[in-house]
Amino acid sequence: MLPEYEVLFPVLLLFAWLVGEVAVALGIPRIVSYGVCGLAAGIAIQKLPTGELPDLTGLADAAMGLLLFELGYRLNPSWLIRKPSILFVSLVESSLTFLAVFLCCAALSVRLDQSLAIASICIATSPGAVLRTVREKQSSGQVTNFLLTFSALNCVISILVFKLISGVCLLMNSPQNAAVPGVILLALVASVLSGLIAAVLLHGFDSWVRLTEDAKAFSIAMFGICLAISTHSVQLSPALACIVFGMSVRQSGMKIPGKFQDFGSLGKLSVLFLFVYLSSRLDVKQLVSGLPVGICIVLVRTVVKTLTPLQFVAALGCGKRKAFLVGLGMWPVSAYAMTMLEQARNMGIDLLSSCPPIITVIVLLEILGPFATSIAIDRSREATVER
Amino acid sequence: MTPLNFKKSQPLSLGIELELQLIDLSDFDLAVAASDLLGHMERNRCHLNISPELTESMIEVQCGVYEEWEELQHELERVRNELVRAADWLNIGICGGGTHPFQRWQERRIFESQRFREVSALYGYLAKQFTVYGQHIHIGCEDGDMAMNLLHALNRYIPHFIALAASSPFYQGENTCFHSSRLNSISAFPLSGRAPFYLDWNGFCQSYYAPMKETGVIQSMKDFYWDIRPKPEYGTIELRVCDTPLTVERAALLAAYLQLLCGWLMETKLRVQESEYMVYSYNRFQACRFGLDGNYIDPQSRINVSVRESVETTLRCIELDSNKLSLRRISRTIEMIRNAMRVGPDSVSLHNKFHNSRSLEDLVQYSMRTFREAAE
Repeated sequence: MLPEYEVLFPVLLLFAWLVGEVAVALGIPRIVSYGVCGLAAGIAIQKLPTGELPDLTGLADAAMGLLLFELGYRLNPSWLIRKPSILFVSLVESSLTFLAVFLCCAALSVRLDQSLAIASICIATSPGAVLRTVREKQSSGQVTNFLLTFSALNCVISILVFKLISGVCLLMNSPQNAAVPGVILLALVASVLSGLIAAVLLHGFDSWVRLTEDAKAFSIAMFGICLAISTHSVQLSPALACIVFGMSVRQSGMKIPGKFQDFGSLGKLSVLFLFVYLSSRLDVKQLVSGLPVGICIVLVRTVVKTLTPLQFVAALGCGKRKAFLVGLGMWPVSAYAMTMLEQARNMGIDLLSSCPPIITVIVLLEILGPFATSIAIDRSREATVER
Repeated sequence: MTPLNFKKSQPLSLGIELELQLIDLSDFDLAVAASDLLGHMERNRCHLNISPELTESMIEVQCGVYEEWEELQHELERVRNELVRAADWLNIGICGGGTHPFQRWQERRIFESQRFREVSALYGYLAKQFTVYGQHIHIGCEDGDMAMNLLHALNRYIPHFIALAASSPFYQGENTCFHSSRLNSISAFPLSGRAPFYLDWNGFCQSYYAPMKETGVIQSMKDFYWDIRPKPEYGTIELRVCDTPLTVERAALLAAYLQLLCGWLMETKLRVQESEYMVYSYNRFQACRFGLDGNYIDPQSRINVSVRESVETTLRCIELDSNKLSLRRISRTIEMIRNAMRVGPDSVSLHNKFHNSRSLEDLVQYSMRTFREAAE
């Protein structure tokens, strides 16, 4: 008799962790191995009599929430005000990516609603892959700064576009739901507000108790987890709420020492869980059937992401080489896309089981993306931990 | 071997080099950003004299040569304003201070250049530990003999400069209890400390410099990390014991004090004896550890006073020895030095700030704000 999932899943996480450590020794980014382990586990689980993992998307949102908090915290709004050209480049790059991927999908006869959804997801740059790589290499400098900032901006743009498209799609499928776009807009505003309120509560608590540094980091983690799970449960956007939470904490003047910003072991465990769990939910049969279209989308997205910063060297204020490396580092999209798709499924748009090309895109970029980011940071000579 | 020529320069002319910290604004640790900053300056044709230092988290700015310290201060302020603008553009912070309060030397990255690679290969971990920030003040000398005499005559006043410039009480995440902990990092180098006692340039070159070069111990004067060293290619002596202060105004004032002191020493022609170095290390340690409140043993009279009293006594002597005309010119400088003593060195304000906030990140933010304050 097979053990229950409650036993199997921690063993799977342990296995993925061990594989990750071996992978690092071989020069492979950890999160690539987590994704591959998750995929393999997904195939194995589908062969079991019960057939499916329990729904832990709330926990996945919490894990993603911690990552997005860190990303939001590292984003410097004053820099964007002083240098609005970054916002401009991000908007142009996002628009071009959206347009190119959409046209590619349309040319390959992908359904309109699916093309729009795929294009909006492809705007994003996975914060998980970028942050983990930056952390592991302890990098800082111009390329790192741009990567983190573009990742945060692209995620926000991607959420807004994806939610907008979801609303339109729901309206198109059932015209009696005329209030849906308004509800989605309200949900976005409520997500932003919930992030702000969490920051105000945390700041108030810190001013009152004067938390020590590690207690502060732990409180933030708990606030972040609760924020992500509660926004997930009422169908708000946990991603948006957590980014706003991170930005607001920074603006409030609370300082979290660098060593606590990734939440230590808790942060590592959440990334491990996030990548393994979400990858195990992917249907590998669809990966194969979506391969031709998926490869085309990946190619188009990769070209646009890599080359757009090169056209804005003056606006970015860096050399061509660094602009190219910024573009290269923006490849990953996987875990973030999966959480968006899980949320869409909860809203009634099930792309995970009906849109094979998106699965192919996710899997390919889950493997290639972290390599690209890793190479970009190594070549920029901004890493202080060298392989 | 070609003789080491000492270039003639305007006596008592002034120059300054300042090493500055580059800060990552997301966690207030040091950033790997020297190449980015230098590249930005080059692309924007900023006419500042900036060079890389041993690690990617530091830069050195060099000012022109001036006869009056007020002119030097104006240039320092202009340089500071340009640097703050560039740092803002690159999303990095910039500040003074002799050490970063909590950086870990293991995480530093050596700047990519032939010389720094060689230094790193030779000194191993000491090279990365050398991520400390100093102010070097140059004083012009007419010839090598004058440089050597002045260099050794200044041995008595080294504690004054250490104490007035002290701004490195925190290091590697710890309160070191020193006012200037930076000099402890430099002491680890084999060619640090004081210059050998030669009062004539030819004697120094023939009996010390040439043999050291022949044996391969050094390649140039740059390899000596002495507290004060001659700089023959500039025609100056270079005082290297000062931490980089938190403000450029304090940096200019320290240069003013050195100029004043050297002018006075040259006029009064104080004789120097090697025996004065007997208490050199003790006085130096006291100034590093206790700042202006440290013990100071006068090398000539052997009287025991505080560093603060010694500075005050020196200022009074300078006032007494000045004629009416020059006194009017120097009285403002002397008053400003007295005022700086009353306020205390930057190490005191850093200690106070830490006492209030208990956060080393706050300390870095305070240093950045102090550095740029006048720029805004």
